[in-house]
Amino acid sequence: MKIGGWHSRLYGACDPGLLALGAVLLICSPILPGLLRLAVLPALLLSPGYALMRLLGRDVEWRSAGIAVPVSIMLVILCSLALYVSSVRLDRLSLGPVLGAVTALFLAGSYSRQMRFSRSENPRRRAAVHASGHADDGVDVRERATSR
Amino acid sequence: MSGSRANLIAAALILAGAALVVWAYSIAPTSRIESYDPIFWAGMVLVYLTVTWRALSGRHVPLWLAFLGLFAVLPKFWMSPNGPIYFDETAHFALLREVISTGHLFQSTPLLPIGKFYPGMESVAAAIHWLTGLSPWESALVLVAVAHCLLPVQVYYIARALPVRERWAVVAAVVYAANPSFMYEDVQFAYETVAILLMFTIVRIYTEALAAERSGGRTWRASLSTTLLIALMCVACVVTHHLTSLTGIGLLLVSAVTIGPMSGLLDRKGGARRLFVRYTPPLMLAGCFTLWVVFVAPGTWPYLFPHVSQPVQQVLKLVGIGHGTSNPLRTLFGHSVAPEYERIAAIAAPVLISLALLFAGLRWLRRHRSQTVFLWSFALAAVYLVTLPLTLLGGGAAGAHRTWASTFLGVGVLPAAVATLFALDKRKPWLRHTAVTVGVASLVVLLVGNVTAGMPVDYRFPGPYQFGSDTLSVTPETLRLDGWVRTHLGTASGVVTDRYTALSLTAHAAAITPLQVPGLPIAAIWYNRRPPEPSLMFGLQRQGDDYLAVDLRDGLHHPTESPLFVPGEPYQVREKDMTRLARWPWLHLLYASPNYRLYKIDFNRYYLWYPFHAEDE
Repeated sequence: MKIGGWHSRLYGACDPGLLALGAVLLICSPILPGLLRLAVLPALLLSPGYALMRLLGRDVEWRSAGIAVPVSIMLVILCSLALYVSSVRLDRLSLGPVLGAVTALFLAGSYSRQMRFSRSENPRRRAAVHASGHADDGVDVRERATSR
Repeated sequence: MSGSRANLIAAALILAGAALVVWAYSIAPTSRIESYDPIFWAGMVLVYLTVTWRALSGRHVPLWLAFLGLFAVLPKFWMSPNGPIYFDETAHFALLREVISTGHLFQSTPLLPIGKFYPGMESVAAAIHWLTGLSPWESALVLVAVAHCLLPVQVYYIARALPVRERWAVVAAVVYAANPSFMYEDVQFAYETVAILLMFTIVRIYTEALAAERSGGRTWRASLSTTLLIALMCVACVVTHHLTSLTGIGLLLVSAVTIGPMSGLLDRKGGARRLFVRYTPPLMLAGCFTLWVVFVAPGTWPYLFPHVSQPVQQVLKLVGIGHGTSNPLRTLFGHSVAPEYERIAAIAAPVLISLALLFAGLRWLRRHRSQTVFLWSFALAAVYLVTLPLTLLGGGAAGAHRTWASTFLGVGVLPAAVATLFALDKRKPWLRHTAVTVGVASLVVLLVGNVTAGMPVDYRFPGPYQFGSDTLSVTPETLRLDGWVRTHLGTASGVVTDRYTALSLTAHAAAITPLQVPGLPIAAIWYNRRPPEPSLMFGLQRQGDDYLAVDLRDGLHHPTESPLFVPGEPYQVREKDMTRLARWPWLHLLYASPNYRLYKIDFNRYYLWYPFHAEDE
């Protein structure tokens, strides 16, 4: 990845920290004042989708925005349906926090998955490093796991 | 030329193209189509070619394609920047308003009863409204823009996964953006706009999964997670639109039996996982759709069936087997005011596609039968061409039209098939240059011709008042009536009226306007020589339709595009049947303007009055 290039800035759209910020924005959307609420739009269209894709172990680079946005739209539809079936009135008080919570849940799940993956990979990696005498070209196994 | 300089030139060309489009729309209301239509096309062609040039340069391809999708929203946006204007759009916006005001899904509108059971798009637009504070219409526009800008991107990635080389995948996306539905149909706030994005995403994930199977290295875990994602997307697609789900099932089935790696139809040598990856998605989409129709939306089948049965009956009648008295054939450009060059392009476009399919197909049969990459494209392009003659049938036009946004995917890949099968890349330079010139000219013909074939002129440009037009029948006088209704009767007031006044009252006054359905023959108020019967009035009273709005021009003109109430209605309302309303004592005049009358219906007085006047003419 080019450091400082626009690719890297776009890559930020699927950075876990930004996804977490997206979840927080969604949860806090009912209390955000005025124009600040517009910041929720990218969070709504990107965060839930990228979070689910991370959980499922799919590519989470900026190019996959073409999947992340439709997946976010899908999650909004499914969450709205779930709230309707639960007889909860749909509005910003219900939908924002639910979508934020779902995003946070997916992120937590993806971290848990990543940690399990790292634990199972580490002994093998150590053995490989020990055998070859050098690290795996400096590529972080965790990064590889999440961007698979 | 350096990349940044080329991008600057491209930006300047795009700005010039956008300015031309806006200029065309600004002069359209007061000019003849011959003056603004060439300006419009100059702008559109300039932008299409510029985006193609930059995307073919190989950098930031998805961004350029997304920009093309976004730019294609511009004409529709200038058509109605402040609110819905088309029939479906008005109906869906009414549904959105209901969802927002009640906080519950599955709301209904008389304009589109089936829309109640497909609330996917409204739920997303309502979420945007609630979470961002944008107005309902702005939320709808944002959703449409986002969905539309991603369509060419999905086509590009689907083509890449087939696999098609990058430059031809770009061409596939640009050619797809010249389909008849792209510029005016799939930019409406209507359920197909969002559903088609969801369906293309399913197809993209699916074709990428098949590509991963081809390259090896897949695991069961990866396949299962992909299938889970597709399953969730299938549910969302089904909840959003019935017909797109159906065409999606067809698209996935065609993909399943044509996209490699294949070893026989059942792909037995591929192993259990490949069989699972190949056939689970179409089965899941079909299963979701069946369950939804059976348990949630049983009205879908009666709604869709006439779109199949009517063309079949009409074809049978044409070959002398069926019954019926009326001529089922429509006239090509019967009431169109499109310029001559647009009509020629509209006829030339399918001819070009047929020629491309014919040449590529024959070449494939003779020399490359082992290459199955383009079978998928051939199958879809053939379906597209087969549906074209159906538009000449009165009952087949709408159904055929709705499939084009899906089947044009195959047409998009045809240039790649022609270039690859004829090895154009390896030919002499003059032949390559000639091929590029022919390709550019073909793209322009496809763009102009398909838009002309896909949308009537009154759906594309603003203009002077035109009786019987969804878009041009709204005048300042109509808007004053809408304003009066909104101010004095409030929103959600039930107003019985004709189709065109109903559209305006629904869009601008948030009124509820019943259309003629079995059991509620409201057209009788306009067409019957005798007063409306108590069964009709009881039905109106039960629904809370307390008001009657009439447009006096209904008695002067005959609508050419859509009927005032119901297909097969009398040619025109009798003028004396319009004036008799003023004499009926159970109608109290509330509002009058040169062309409109709004009455309050006094149902109790009607029930007393009717027995003595049932035979009046």
